[in-house]
Amino acid sequence: MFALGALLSLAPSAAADGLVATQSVERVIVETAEDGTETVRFGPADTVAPGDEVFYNLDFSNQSDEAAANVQLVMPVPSAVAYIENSATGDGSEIAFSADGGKTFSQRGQLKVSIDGEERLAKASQITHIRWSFSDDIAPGASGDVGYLAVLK
Amino acid sequence: MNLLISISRLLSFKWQLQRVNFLRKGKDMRKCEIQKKKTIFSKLAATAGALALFAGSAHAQANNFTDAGTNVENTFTLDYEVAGTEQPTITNDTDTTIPGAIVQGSETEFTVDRLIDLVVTQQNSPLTVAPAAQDAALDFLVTNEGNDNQSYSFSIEDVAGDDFDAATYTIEYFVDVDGNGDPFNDPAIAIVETATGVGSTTNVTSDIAPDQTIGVRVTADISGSAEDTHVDDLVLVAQTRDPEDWAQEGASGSQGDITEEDDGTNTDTGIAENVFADGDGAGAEGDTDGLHSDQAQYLVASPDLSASKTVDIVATEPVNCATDAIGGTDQYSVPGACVEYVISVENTGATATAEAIDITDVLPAEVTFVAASINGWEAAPAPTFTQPAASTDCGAATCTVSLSGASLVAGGTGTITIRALVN
Repeated sequence: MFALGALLSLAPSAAADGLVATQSVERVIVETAEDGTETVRFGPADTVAPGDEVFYNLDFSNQSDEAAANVQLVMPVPSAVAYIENSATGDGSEIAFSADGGKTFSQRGQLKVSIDGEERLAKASQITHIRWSFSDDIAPGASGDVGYLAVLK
Repeated sequence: MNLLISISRLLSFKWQLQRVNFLRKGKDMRKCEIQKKKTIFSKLAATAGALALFAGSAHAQANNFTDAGTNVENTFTLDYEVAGTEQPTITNDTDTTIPGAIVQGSETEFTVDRLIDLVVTQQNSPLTVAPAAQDAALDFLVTNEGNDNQSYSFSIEDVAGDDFDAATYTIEYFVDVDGNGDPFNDPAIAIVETATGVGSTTNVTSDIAPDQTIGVRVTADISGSAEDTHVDDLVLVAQTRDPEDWAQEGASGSQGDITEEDDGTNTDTGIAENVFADGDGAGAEGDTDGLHSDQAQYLVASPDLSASKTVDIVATEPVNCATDAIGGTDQYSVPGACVEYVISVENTGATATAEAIDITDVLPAEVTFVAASINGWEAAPAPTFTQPAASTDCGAATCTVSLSGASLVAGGTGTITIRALVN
């Protein structure tokens, strides 16, 4: 399988300089002031312990001179973390979820899992992948970012 | 005429009453002096019973936390088209080859750090003990609520303002080897108390896994002079120590050292760093310091008996000495007069029932025994009451009235009433 992939790799075309994407992970830090107000900020994921929340972010930009169409970004949800409901963000995208390892994706409200032959709505902790789909083209020079929050189990 | 009352307990404790002088006329409620040799103790329902293992703990469920040192990786894929043509997938996955993909960067990763959290909860406080009780045991559960192996050291903190402190405390801990949920039925492991903050590689427990609960027992001997309702309050403090081996990262390298928090400024990945998450226990320690504690109490309960004996002249010329009501004040103790002795025992303890009370009364030779009865004692266990035959001349034979195996609840009064005729 891998050898076949090596045979098929072509010399990079001009479009290979097209989209550039960078993934990062940050830790969610909640600071509580004296009066009880909470401030939420992001910091480096240098001390992450069970119960802490992390934010996975994916920045992308179109560095070519041609528009990119039908852009689809997929990020897994690692097994050590659990997706936090309603936290997936990505302006201009449609967000879909998978609970079967990335084989099929559905809207959150239609994501089903099968337990003992019975179909149930998937829990946040059962989500394995998240997909962001952009119906509009990403113009040359344009950029965007998507992300989601998860809690370390 | 002299009276000797002896009250004895089945298990060799003895009360001794000094001799009581009584008047021939009127009532003398002079209380006897009681020389307390030891006290009589009733076992109150001390339920070790079936331990509810997590009772009282704030963290009642197994935590199933991700192991410290776990490296959490994530990747992405980006697919798109240009002018209707599918472009090579962009990914940062350097481990799995996607055919034709372009790799940008590498996996995003972070290391799961080491959560240090523990909970100490007392199991059987207040523990009711008798004065002179030996090996009175206060039990605690200690749970590793973190995500890596830990060892623990223990120290006992005095609580000011209690009534007494036992002279020495011994600590042992128990690991639930047979897995039945109760550590205390497994073998005890001795451990030496180590003051909080003192480094020690020898006075620590074996490695305790995440979610594991051990039993810790504090035993003491209670002084024989401890008084009814007095308490000894103490706090058991547990301090987190580095174990022999971490679950994921092999030997800790500093077994027994006080576990310290890392400042987290150095690395995203690599070895796990320590993060304190413990709460504030009952003692002097605070939260997020690797320490937790709970308070427990020895509560002394002893019955306290006081006895008295009175004598009344029932009638100078009795009709029926056994049943005549006590007459007025101008009755005389002359031959033929009917007299009534009443031995009265009161349990002035706060809570403890006095058990196995034995009272023996030998009537003077100058009377003839008529009748005797008892009242006020606990019906169960039923005491044994013996008396001489009616009309026994106590000068010719020894007249012994005796009560044995009697019980008296706290606040109760038991009596023996004896009627006799003056010879």
